[in-house]
Amino acid sequence: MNGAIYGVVGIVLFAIGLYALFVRPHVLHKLIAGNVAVSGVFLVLLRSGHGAPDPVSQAMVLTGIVVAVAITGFAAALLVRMARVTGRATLGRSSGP
Amino acid sequence: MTETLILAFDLLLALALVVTAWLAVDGRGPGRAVVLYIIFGFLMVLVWMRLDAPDLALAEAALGTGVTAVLLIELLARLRVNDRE
Amino acid sequence: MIVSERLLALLMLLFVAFAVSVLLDLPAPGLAAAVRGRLAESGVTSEVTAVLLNFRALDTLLEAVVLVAAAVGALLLAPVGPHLGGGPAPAPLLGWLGPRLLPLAAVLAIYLWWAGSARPGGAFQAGAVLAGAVLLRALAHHRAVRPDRLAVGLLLVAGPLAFLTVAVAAAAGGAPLLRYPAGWAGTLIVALEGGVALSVGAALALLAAGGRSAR
Repeated sequence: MNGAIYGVVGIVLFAIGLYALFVRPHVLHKLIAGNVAVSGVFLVLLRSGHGAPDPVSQAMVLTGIVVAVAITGFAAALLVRMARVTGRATLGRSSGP
Repeated sequence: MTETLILAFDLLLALALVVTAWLAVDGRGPGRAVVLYIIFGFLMVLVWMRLDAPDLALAEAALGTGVTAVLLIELLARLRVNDRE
Repeated sequence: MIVSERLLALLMLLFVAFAVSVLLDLPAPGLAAAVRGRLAESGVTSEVTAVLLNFRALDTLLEAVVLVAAAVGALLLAPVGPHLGGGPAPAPLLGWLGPRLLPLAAVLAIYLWWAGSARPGGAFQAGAVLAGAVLLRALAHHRAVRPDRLAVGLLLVAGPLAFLTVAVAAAAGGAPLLRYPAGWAGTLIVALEGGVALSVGAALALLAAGGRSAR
């Protein structure tokens, strides 16, 4: 029962993250939104009926956490370069500072 | 009694997760977003502990929250330096 | 613009309703019994480590490669010069604390590495602790972590290198890729985890505070 709560939270987090990823112009918001969506996926992967969760799911989520950090680091480097080249830290049509 | 308390804790944690996540990406300033995302990471550590996955709690605390926090704060600083130039 | 945001929000609400209704009908993931049944052959007693370093070792090998690739990619974009970009010089306390935390973090990392085969812990957590200590040191000296020296490069590829050595050795013996020889699984897993921990530590430190030399 209680495991289902976190599964539902995972879906909601994925939706929040995906929405913000599309809507927010600032790149830092986009990066954080992506990370929130990924956390939602982890919660859905790990949902358990009762007792300790499946070890294969745990290993997959552990791999996912590490890869998410690697992607965040690489994205950060790319975004710094992008901001340096374009002079602004936003994406999309709205003219940011 | 204990079961009710645990259910209440789960519901509270679930609510806190969703609210923190939303506040982190509501678009009101990147510095605020970084701080709220770090809080979100700590809540995720609690969730992994609640789901009986201490391996994931450790990884989330060290990598998902620890290293990501450094990466985001550094990105924030570099983007600000860039704005000033 | 406002209209499309509303449309997207509506779509997301529909998605949540649909996904929740599906989720509640899904069976829970059920590979726990299969893992438990062959845990004795894996060489370790922690189920998660058995999956990561034995049953699905190829995934972990590729994961280590992803980390190294991300670190190299970030380095190519990193600022040139010895200093960390942005921010003022660090506080005096950090200058005192940073270098002194390194041995403590090393002990913690070694514990996590060693504990991984039986208890919660493992190569990735150990590597993250190492990276944290290196980062604090870099912040304390206000210097970027630089891969100029051969040692840093070797540390970075320690994990994939160890994995590939084991994989090629197994293949040369006629066994499938990454199948550990009987009786050696436990030892090999501890050794591989050591390599991966060093690799993860180096990769994360370079991702967060990497700098290029002018050459």
